[in-house]
Amino acid sequence: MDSGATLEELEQRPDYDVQLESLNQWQLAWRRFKRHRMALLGSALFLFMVVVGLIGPFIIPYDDTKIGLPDAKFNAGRPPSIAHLFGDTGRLHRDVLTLVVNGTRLSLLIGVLASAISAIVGTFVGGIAGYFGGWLDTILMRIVDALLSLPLLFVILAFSQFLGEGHASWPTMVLIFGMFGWLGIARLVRAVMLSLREEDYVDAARAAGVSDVRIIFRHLVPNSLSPIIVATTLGVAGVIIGEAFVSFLGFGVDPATPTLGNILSGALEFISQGNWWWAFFPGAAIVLIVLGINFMGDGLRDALDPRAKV
Amino acid sequence: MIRFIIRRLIGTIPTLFVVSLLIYSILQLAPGGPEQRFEQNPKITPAAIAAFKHRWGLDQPIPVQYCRWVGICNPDGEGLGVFISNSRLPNFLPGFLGGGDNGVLHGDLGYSSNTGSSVASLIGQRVLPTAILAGIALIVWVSLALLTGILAAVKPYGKLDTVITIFNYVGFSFPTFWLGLMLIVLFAANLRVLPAGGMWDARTVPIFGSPEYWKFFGGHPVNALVDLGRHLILPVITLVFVSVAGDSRFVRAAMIDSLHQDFVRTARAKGLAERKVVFRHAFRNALLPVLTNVALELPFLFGGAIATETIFSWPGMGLAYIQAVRTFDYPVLMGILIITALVVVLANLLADILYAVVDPRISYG
Repeated sequence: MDSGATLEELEQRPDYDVQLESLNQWQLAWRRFKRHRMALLGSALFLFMVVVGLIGPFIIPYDDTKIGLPDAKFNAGRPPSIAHLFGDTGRLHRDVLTLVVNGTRLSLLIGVLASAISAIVGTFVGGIAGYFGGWLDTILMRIVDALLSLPLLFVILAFSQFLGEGHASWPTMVLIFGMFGWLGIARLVRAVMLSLREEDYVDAARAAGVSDVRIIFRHLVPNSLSPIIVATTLGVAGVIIGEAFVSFLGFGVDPATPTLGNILSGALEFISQGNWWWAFFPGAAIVLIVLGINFMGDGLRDALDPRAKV
Repeated sequence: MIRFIIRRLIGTIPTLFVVSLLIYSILQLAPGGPEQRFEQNPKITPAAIAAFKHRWGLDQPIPVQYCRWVGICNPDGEGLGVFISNSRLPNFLPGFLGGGDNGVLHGDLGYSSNTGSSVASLIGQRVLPTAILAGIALIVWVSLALLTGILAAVKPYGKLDTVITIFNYVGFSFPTFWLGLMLIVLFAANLRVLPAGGMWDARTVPIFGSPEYWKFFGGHPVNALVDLGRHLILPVITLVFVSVAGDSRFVRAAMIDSLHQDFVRTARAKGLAERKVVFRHAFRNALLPVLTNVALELPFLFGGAIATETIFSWPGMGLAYIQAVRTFDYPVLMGILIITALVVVLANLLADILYAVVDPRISYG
């Protein structure tokens, strides 16, 4: 520092406040996130799709339950036109844009809620396994390992068919995906716990007579929040693709309710007649959402890494 | 080394046991059972359903059903005698030692509750188509991942790297089944250059796997292979496009890591051609983590194969699984799941062994 400057002169300097500003972990992360171009692009994309899902239905002139008159000439649906920007579906002639907007909202809702459940269950199981160790850890992690050696999509398919027989309500799908999505997060949290529980501040808390539960959920979990946030964000994308796949095969949400997968499922029947629009737009919506989430998750990973430079 | 492999092989047994227990319980958690497929059929009386359940042993408590499925219990036994085989020895022993002949332990995966045929023979018929699809996809996928990963790593943050990175991100975000649909629309429905699905052209080629097929294959190997190849193109592209992205990133990271090592600098310093430095020195060292990663990704290949097989009506295990789900065919579901888990566990083991064999720094005592 310039030794000749007085305090008044220092205060006049443009970077004076910045130097004294102290930022906590989250403010630093936010600063890093803002500089991550791909992350901003991804967030914008994601927010755009959220807005489309939320306010789209109020702007679009059609109702998602509206069906058109039968039309022998266009049984496979009409291509995009001014009246129907994304075309309409085969047989029932529902407006594809309306379906996509409503499907986007429901798919996003299922993705976010299921990932939230996964995050909570995963944090709970991983936290307990990692903190207590011993036989509890062995049993829990054996189960996690065993389940992770299965292609879980196979299991989810069978489970949703047996539970809903192709007419499940969307909360059922949330529960099913939440039930199978926590494994990765549990493993992650356990690994972080194993290293954190040896830290001095944990010993200090224990010496002060703090209970185990409080140590886990007040001290350890907040310190392992970054990887949980990243994994949960990326998990939303996984659930959206997974739910679309299950519904696409006809084992998921009731076909009358538009989710992005359900719309695709209907399109399969007419696909060999070349009507691309019915399948193209809902799939493109999935790609946009997932791409946005993946960019965002990557940005979060970099931003939340405390070793990264500001 | 041999001791390590044997120890790991023995270690897979409890894992598979836990897996089987878990999938059995998960499938039982959902209401109903194989009898659910009669639900929509007004001609089937409750008495007929009860008889069906009795014949299939579905009226037994679930632990007993599981025990019979594994082959520890003898379905002919009563009370505590269930553990004893018909030749009065413990039922779990192999057949030639006086054990039973039922259950997975004795190689019996049960019978399809839908068609009544043996699950093992059903899987046997379906393994080859899936293996052909997944195997070719795996080869294309790994080669593409290596190629793009290395090209990206040679000049990180260069133009080519940026292009490959964008491609990877987009590929990573594609739902497999949607890509398949779009390919069908483009190449089968509109351009009409490739078949929309199936594994053979039914007009000229006999059913795949039948004796006639192999006779045809022997007689016209070129025609048969061309036909198979045409049907493979779209499913393989579908499977590869999505999978390649993650691995390409992985190869890139491993290569960048490897290119910064001292031995690479030494190789450059002694004047080796850049091509040799990249492929002989850096690449060989980057290959190990890549191979392990590929082994660990096998379950995703299977998962992707389900989607791909459904869209392209490829007569493999994935399609068989979907049909089994539709008809509440629990024995087939269990059979396919346990075989898949076995493949995955063995692949993990292979990854560990690869590590130990290739990398001298790791010892497994």
